[in-house]
Amino acid sequence: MMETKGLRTEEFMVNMGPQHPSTHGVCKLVLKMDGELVKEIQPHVGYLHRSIEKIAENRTYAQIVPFTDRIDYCASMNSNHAYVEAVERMAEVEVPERAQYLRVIMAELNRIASHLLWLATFTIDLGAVTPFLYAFREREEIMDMFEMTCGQRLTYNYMKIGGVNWDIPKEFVPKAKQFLKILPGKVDEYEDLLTNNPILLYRTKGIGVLSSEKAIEYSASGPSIRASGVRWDIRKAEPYAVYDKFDFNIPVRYNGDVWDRYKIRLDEMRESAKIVEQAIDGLPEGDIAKKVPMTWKPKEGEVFCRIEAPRGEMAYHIISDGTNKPYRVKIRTGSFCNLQLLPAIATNHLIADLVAIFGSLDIVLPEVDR
Amino acid sequence: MGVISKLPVYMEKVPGGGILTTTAEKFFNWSRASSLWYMLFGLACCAIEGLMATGASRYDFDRFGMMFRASPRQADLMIVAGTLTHKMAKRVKILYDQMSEPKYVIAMGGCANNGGPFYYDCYSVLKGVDKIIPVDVYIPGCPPRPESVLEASLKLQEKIKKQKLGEWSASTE
Amino acid sequence: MDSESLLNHINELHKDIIINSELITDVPTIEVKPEHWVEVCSSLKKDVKTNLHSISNYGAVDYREKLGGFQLVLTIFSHKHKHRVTVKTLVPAQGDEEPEIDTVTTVWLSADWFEREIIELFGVKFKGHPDPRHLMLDDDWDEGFPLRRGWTGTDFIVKPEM
Repeated sequence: MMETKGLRTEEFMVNMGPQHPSTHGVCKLVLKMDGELVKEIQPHVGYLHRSIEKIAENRTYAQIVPFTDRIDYCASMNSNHAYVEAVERMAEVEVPERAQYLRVIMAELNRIASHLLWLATFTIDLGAVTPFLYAFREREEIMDMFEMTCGQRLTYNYMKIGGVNWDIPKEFVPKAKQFLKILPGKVDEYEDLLTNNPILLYRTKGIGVLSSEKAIEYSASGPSIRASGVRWDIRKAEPYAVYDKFDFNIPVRYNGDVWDRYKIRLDEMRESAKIVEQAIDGLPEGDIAKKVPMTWKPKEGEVFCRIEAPRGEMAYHIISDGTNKPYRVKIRTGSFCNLQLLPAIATNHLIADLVAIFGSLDIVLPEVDR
Repeated sequence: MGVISKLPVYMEKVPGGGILTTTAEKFFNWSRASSLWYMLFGLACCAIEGLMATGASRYDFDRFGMMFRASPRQADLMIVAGTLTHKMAKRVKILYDQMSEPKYVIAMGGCANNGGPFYYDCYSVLKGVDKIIPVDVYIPGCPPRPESVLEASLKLQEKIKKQKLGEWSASTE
Repeated sequence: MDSESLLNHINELHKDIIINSELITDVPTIEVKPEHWVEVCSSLKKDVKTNLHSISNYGAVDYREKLGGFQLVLTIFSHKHKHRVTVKTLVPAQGDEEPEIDTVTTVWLSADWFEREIIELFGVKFKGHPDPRHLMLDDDWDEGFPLRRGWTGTDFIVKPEM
């Protein structure tokens, strides 16, 4: 028989990551565990710190655009959009309306692709492998559309200061219309598989509750804050590009748990599809870019411009000293703040729930590290 | 007999059909090349293309015998997919050392090859994964298409099939 | 409240403290002295009319040559009133100096990581910061503060002019 006298339990440390399939990249979580219970979480980031802010100081304004692709590779169009929008606002460059429409179409398609990617990884974290294959099936369709427009599948370099680099080919519109026709049905299909699935409900309902006060206190943004009952979407609150011309809703949920964050992204996909549909129907003819010379220099000044990226507020603070290179570029991303609040909502949960909570925040590490 | 007639030419068929003869070297190489299990280990952008899109529905990595493993101890192949920073490089070296022999490395994308877009004016990126671990196949691109990852795995299989039996332990020194 | 009246309201609130105020691309921007940094920040959060509860952006700019210090730029916004304000301060520093300023983590919890980033990349210290470890760089990094202008290191290759 085993001697039980003198047995004791004690807290122990677990290193989760940097190589861990559920941290979606290279993030390390140092956990203090009491059995299965997570008592303390310390996120360690910086494993993908690529010093884009330093590089940006040594590149011309046009040369920075490809680097913005790599800040959020799941939604490159949105990062492009944030940067060019900021520079244009600083230098007061007029953008042709067709280019504005094309930007919105691409950004919203990319939002759908990004949410699909999130759905794939989130469900695989919870142990469901089928939605991964389903979500990638639809994502590939969007990748095809991007590829026929700009020749790349992930880092597009599509937008430029003053417009966009390429016009859409003639096959784009029929393909996009076809895709938008099937997408709502496909989202229903995911919902059939997941939304009322008892296993998913058990893993997500009431887990990782983020109250609206806490969300505001931690400067959360994007779907994470909208799932906590705060109606905050920069596309509506401070419309940029031509978002004020479209009719769409902002899905808001009030419980702030993992399930709400899951549901809100599915709803957003439907809303984004609506925007793309309206933008394609209303796409005006005309130029796709305003000519901006290669040796272009904006006047001295600074700008702070933010847009709604799939992971929340993405902002650029650009300071120009009158030369062709920016003096300083500070990049604020949604994941950076959203990861900060992980310890606040995930402590005193089981370690398996931590994976669900981390997945539901939709963290992309290059956005945190830059 | 259908299966046996399709077997690689270097297997000799003994009349009667029940017995095959081949060399141990060819047999080992054939089995190693046909079931390369890669480590589930994404660093940056390339991970989405190289590990996820390639593994998902359209490109279907499994048909090459490639399956992902979450643990380095069970993996034969490390696909270094993405930018390797100085901070991460130490951990990658540890992961590589934890993999059991024989082990292979594919450097995927410009960043893993030589720093790529982060070569100049960058203080935190390691300029090439081959500075810390030996690389078998390099894939150019930023990020490379899933097809090029498939091509790279075929190239790696070719390389493995040509290996000599005593060679693999020396190749990683 | 539109940006102009918001700026006027803030100007009135801190009449003697604000050294410079303007509208930059329609965002009210004020500049204060480093000794009033935390005071102004916490009052902007608490004041009912401003109610700036969230951080939108928080970064530093190396102005050692032009202005003689590091400028902290903090953009904060309010979910309640849907407006934002930028607060700036200049932390004086020359050469390799590592200047010090009070932390605003006492005001906003989410300032934590923003400040940790500034500590390691610019070498501006924050008095009273709860956890001033490295965030982005490795723990054994000892090559100084890479985002300072003119910084060079061992593995740092400057792009040659084409």
